[in-house]
Amino acid sequence: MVTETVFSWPGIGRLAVQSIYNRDYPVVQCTVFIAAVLFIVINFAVDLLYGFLDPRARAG
Amino acid sequence: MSEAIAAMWKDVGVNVKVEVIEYSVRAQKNREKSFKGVWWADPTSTLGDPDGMMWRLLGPGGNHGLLARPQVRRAGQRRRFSVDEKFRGEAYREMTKVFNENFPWLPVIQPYEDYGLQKYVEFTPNPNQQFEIRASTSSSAARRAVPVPPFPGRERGGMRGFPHARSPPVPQPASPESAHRALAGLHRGLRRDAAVRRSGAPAPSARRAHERDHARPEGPGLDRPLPVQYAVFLKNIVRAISTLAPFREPAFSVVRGYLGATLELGLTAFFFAALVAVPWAPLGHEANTLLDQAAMGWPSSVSRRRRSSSASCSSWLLSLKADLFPTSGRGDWKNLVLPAMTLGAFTMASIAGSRARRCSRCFAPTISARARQRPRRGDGGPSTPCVMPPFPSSPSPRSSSAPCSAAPW
Repeated sequence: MVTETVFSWPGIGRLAVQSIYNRDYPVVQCTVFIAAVLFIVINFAVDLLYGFLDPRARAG
Repeated sequence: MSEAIAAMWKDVGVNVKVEVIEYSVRAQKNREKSFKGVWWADPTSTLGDPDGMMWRLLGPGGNHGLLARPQVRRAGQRRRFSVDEKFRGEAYREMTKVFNENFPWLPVIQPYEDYGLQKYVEFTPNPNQQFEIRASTSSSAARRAVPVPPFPGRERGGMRGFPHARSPPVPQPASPESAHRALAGLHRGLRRDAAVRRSGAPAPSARRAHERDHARPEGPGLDRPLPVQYAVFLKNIVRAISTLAPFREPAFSVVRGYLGATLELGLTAFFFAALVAVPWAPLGHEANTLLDQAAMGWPSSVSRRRRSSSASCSSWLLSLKADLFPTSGRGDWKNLVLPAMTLGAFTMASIAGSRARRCSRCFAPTISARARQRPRRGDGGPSTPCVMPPFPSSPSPRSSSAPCSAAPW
């Protein structure tokens, strides 16, 4: 969010900031929802990959 | 809107006066061609038919009478008594061509009409800047029965400003059969509601619809096996997302449009981070080497603020050197490099910070013991801030060589 706002990158982070300024609640909800889904999915994938790459992490 | 436009004109030095005149006065001025000033006009009639603009206003004898040319007169007369949509469309196209060749006025502003509506609201944009949502309230049979003819000259897309909308229909009376079907459907619905009210119990179809609409997610079922619980959990998530998504339109469409840029930035940042981390890992995996100590010592010894500052400063200096600063948005790969490097640097600094915390937790006794044994500054003793356990030679899930479950990389 900070990176996209500082560098004017037209991504979800900047859209979220603009939506907050504009009080566009549906878009804010959507950005939070999609960010949460992305966070969960990517973390899940990284956790799976982590155990694959580092055998010690499988003990867990 | 007139006042806003007048204010904009005044900003550029044009003295504008907004004057509201009666429609008959305006028509008279138009007929006499004595109208002075900017004329605000709708593109068509209140019926949504282009005839209102193309013939009644611009045609011979109309309020304007600007297109009193033989070919316009011929096309207008032929179209006037025809019910063939294709023929009418061609006639209007011919009249539009004459109109464009003999432009009677100079357009000053053509507003972009933009409306935010849920996608499940079925509406038809009216060229007279009105909404037509009555079609969504009638039965589907009646909607199917009423044909939607193409708008002349705009068959491929929607109207200007309505990229996802249907072309506006020319109002036509519904056939007796379709009207009968619509009324029959309405009566059936009313009878069903009345039956429900009389009996006090919902009809089977109504009950099924109610259960479908108000179905609660299945519980976790803690007595079932773990994989089944997990599958139910995932199913509930998918169901919640599929239920939520349609109600978030068109916000989801808006966010989807920005998702590509974010993924592009994230993947590029990941690429840059991997470009640094992947060569580093095999070099530093040998315990107690200089590289390993540097890898462990840097996050442990440098504070978090200094880590972030040094990471961002180094990336920005590198970008300045490579002439990648400043950026101006998406579109050029050069604009992507600096944000991606910054994001990657911050991410790696954050990971290093979490590693340092984990390291200090795991090795706190070791570090404190070494600190007690370590000679003070100036005594010339070795300085080893933290040592990670070596990688096992073979995968051993519960190896006792690792003092904790934290993995070094």
